Amino acid sequence: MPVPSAAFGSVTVTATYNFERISLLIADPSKYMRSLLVGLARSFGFRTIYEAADGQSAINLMRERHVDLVIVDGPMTPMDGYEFTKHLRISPETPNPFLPIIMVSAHTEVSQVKQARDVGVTEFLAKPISAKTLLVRFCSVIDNQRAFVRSSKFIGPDRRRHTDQAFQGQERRGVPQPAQDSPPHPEGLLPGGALSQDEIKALLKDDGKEAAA
Amino acid sequence: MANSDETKKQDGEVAKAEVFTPPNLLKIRASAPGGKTMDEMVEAGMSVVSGLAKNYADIANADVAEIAGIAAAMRQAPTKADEFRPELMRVGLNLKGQAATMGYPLVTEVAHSLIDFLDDMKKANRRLADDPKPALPAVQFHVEALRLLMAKDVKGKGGPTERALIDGLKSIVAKALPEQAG
Repeated sequence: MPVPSAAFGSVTVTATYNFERISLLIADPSKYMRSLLVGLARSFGFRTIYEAADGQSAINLMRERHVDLVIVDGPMTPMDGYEFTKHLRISPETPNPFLPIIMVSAHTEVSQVKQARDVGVTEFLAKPISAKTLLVRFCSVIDNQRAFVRSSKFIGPDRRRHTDQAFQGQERRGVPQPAQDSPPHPEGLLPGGALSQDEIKALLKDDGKEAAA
Repeated sequence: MANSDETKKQDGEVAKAEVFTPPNLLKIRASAPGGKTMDEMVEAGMSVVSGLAKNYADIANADVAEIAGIAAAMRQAPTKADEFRPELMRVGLNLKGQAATMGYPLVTEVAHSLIDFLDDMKKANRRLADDPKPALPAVQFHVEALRLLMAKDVKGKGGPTERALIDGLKSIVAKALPEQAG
């Protein structure tokens, strides 16, 4: 019997999530922030968690370890999260160009969020975070998988999040075909819009006018 | 199967983009039996945050001391102030990104103001060294605000004194910022 959960608004949440078999990589230059993210991830049930202090260290680690999901900060040296993401998406040496990447950053100036979008992050979460906001992002990546776009100029998640219902012209955008081997989404999915005001402000609202390629 | 968009290059040649959905392996793994509900996980996560928050004041004080040192170096060599900008951003982003999570939202707010000020100067193509007289005191005011908040261990929203401090900060930043272009 579904139990209404006040913590997540009026959405009836029935889904459970088992993160035990998902390996997570956390790349953040702050040791304290990494301890927070690792602690939260463990409390959610992740059992395999790797850490790196910058993008290059993360890439080196991924040559040795299998990673299913990445959390990456924006500003890092010598390689920042933007370069790391770009490398994962387009480098011939990438272990997985479709790897889900959640950028968790305090640098939420619009140009930074746009840059994150344009290099191909899957989700962007503004710091300061909470247990809830981080968990919502994990579940969003799992439940609301985004289509991928591959073109001469871009490889990454489809940056178009909105369909303009008022648009009357011919629909010329490619419509992603769903994967056939994924289980159907259970009811009561956490909506991708369960965002704080700061997150809404930080996330770029794509009006569909920018082409994916 | 992928669908293709046809997009026109500048020279009129048509380029194709593929839109497709990779297999959702995370979904398959996360659906395994024995999972936790959202409420269970959030509750567990909040305990982690509470535990870490107990020693956050030491972390924040160290960051504030580091920012104070950077600001002092800038004042001692104002023509080279911009060389310290990356470090100022780094520590400022630490405070902005961590303090509110650990119960110090006003520290995040002041750090946010500092980061915004530095970003706005950059967007206006102005170096800190170009306008040291308003710019460096603006940086210093942020430092003093952070020192005060941590000295008084101000958690939560604070009181009228703290709000007056934040309002004063906004006023100083507004005066220090060059007129925005475009």
